[in-house]
Amino acid sequence: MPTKKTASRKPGATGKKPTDVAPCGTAPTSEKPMTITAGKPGDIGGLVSVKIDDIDIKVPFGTTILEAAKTVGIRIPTLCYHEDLCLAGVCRICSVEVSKQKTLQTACTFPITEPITVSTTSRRVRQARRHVLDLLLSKHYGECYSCFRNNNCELQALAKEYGVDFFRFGHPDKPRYEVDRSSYAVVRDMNKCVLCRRCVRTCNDLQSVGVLTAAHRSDQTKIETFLDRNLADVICINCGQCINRCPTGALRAKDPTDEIWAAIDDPRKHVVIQTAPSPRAAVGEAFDLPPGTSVTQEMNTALRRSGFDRVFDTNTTADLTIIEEGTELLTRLYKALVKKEEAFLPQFTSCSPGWVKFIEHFYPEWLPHVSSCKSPQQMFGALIKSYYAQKQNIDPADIVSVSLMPCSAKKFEANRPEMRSSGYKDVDYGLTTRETAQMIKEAGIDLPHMPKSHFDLPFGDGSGAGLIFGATGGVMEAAIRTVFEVVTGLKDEQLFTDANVVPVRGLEGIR
Amino acid sequence: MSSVVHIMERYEAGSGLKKALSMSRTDVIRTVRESGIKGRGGAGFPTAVKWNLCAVAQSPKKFIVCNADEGEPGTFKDRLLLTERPEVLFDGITIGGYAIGAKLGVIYLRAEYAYMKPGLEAALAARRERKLLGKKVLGNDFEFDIEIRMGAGAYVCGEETALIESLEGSRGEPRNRPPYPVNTGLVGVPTAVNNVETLIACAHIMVKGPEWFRKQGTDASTGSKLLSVSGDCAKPGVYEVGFGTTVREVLKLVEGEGAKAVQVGGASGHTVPAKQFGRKLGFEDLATGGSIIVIGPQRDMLDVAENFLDFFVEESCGQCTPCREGNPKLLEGVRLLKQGRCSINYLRELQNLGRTMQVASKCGLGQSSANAFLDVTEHFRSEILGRVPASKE
Repeated sequence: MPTKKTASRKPGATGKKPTDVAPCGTAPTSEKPMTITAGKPGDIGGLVSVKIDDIDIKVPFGTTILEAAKTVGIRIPTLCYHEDLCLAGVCRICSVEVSKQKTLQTACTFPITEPITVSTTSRRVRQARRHVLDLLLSKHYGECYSCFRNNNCELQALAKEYGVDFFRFGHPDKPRYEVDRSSYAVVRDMNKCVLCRRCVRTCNDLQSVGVLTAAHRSDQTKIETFLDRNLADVICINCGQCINRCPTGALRAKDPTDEIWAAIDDPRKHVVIQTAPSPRAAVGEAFDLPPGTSVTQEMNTALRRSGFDRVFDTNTTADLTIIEEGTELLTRLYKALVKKEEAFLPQFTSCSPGWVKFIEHFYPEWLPHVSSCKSPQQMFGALIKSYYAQKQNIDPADIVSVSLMPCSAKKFEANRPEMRSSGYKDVDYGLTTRETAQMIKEAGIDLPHMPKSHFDLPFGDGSGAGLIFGATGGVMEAAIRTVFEVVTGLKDEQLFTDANVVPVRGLEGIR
Repeated sequence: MSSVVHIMERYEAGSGLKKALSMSRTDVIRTVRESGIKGRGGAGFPTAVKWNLCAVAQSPKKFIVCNADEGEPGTFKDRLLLTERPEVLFDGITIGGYAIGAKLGVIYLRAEYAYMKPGLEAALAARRERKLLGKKVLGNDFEFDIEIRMGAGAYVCGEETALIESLEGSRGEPRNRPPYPVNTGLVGVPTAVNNVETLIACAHIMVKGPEWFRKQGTDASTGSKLLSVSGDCAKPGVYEVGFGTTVREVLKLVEGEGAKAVQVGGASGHTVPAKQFGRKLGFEDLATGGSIIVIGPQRDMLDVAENFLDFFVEESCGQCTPCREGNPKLLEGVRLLKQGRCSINYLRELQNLGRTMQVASKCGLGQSSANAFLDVTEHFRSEILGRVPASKE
């Protein structure tokens, strides 16, 4: 028996190392990798000819039609396809003609394993695209004006691109489902869902959380939680990755801006905002700046002009976290290495509320390994309602503490019942970058052209260790720097160039 | 032409298997190829090609699955075969397993046939006693066993990739093809999925040879076919006829000559109007998994279309857009037609939608669910148009 040779079918496989991408499923909710068994030796790694709309190219065995078309600049519309996710092939918008196939084939899933001819523009293809769009719109409730995804919606963009000028098969005038606002982090409006199942694949395959699934059949199909319970009552970790991949307005972060505006408008309230490092580099995107443009000081001014009484830097408590977590690690190491007693090692960080909830639900036996420290957000919240309130002589009951964070799980964390050590809710509202940009826009402020200003004292300057929390691997790097300095009495610059502990940075593999 | 006794002929348990095991695997597949047999489930894929693809696929492990999820409305011939010819079926599965190099055969049994399971299990146990299954089948260096797994009632699980998903314990939804099951099937290994009737025919072919099989049928559709006949006729039931038999001949056989239409191939098949009763059953003309529903002159063709569409709206897995959202639109259209409220323009739009569903749906269910609608609106135009809207009282 010859040995089995397989080529892993992965989205975006062309030109990428196989380790760069998630394995791809054969069915929408599947976590099983789809493999193509070689028909004959030499197939895997070989090149196959394909003719797409009269353009001849050669592509690696197993490349999908969609990937092949991209390489020659042919655009095929997609909706259920997402480069991070397993292939689903459910929306059918990417249907194309393939030689020797009686029916249309979905470009996103069709692997090229033998020479084929593809047409992406035939009459049948155009008609199928229109019908798919018309059918999706016939079930998609709501009006674009009043949707937070207006001008940023994949369904809307496709409807425009493919010339939808009326609702051929009707349009719902009533919602079918109640909007689920139970979660502190994620709002689910299944009336806008187009059943692309990106959220299902994200939740199951990427996050391995698995609270979302397709339930029921036919036109009753709906993305549901276990027994259709409220999102607040299932094991959702509030990571918000489903929101990131939803093509429409069906999933969104829970938006507290109305409450924050009300607090700002209330003269008795002292409204402060702490800002995490990464939104400073991201908020500019909402104002058409290139991704990564740092607008920290412009943002400070914009937030003040929007009505916040104080703008603080979360880096201060990121530093605090690192001192606390580093000391905790040292204590555990001391226990284990010097006193030879049992200690829970390795120690995990506790900064991410999504990660903490993930461990609580799925690996409770590992909880002793998680640092007992609060996250920077919650440390800051406690400081504001205690130390800061005393110092400024403000009744903590009149302080509204807002937090600008890059993650929806922070909204949940602020609402955890144990996060009231000051006697008040330590953080009243969590804001995402998008929501903050929306508030600034709503106030009529052109952020990129704001004069620069600094953070407010007494929590003014943070260290570099806190700042790098915003980068992948940053918390670990900061912890290592601190531990290194405490233990050796040396400066980490003496070991690493510019104190950059490069080995723990970045996304490759597992740290 | 009358009915025939071909694959319903007498058969001695183990005889086909014994013959097959005396041949090489390649010769077994060659014999099946020479018979010209195509899949009896309705799609008509050549069985030998399927077995060969599976046999040459480079994998140390393979499976053969018998599709006994007989769910097409108006089909009940597999029920008869499973009840009266289980030994022939077991032989057929074992022969197929030998040909492709599988050690395990799985029968995916329709949920409604659960009552058959104890009897079939007992028959399998008896076969193990007689060494027709086991570590060394009939003393040969060939290990094989058969398991029975139950379906849970979904029509779509008759589609082979949805069936495999169901076998794996997942929601019964069709997979993307390619890769095909012969390459990437049950738990990712090459899998041949064959209909009950196909496997039974293959067992007979082993004993009596390909020429015997070709005595019935046409060049493109060799052999005979079991038909499940129901509807407006005097003698409904299971019939065996040679391929190439015309619809008219079938109607004569079952005493349903007055019919105004015949549904060939069940809900997913085609609605054949009286003027086309000369058409032949066979893969070259009217392909069928065996369901023949006679539609008498008293029937309203919109009722017929509504009935089938109602079925598909219930049974679509809900995965792909054309099938999930298209079927309800067609059903709504039929109801509008019944009320005399469907414009010619909208009817044309729905017909176009039906054609899109035929080519853009993911699996055979969605690709065929619009057939009846398209046939009825084309062949019975004068009957369905011009109805008077019901008064608003």
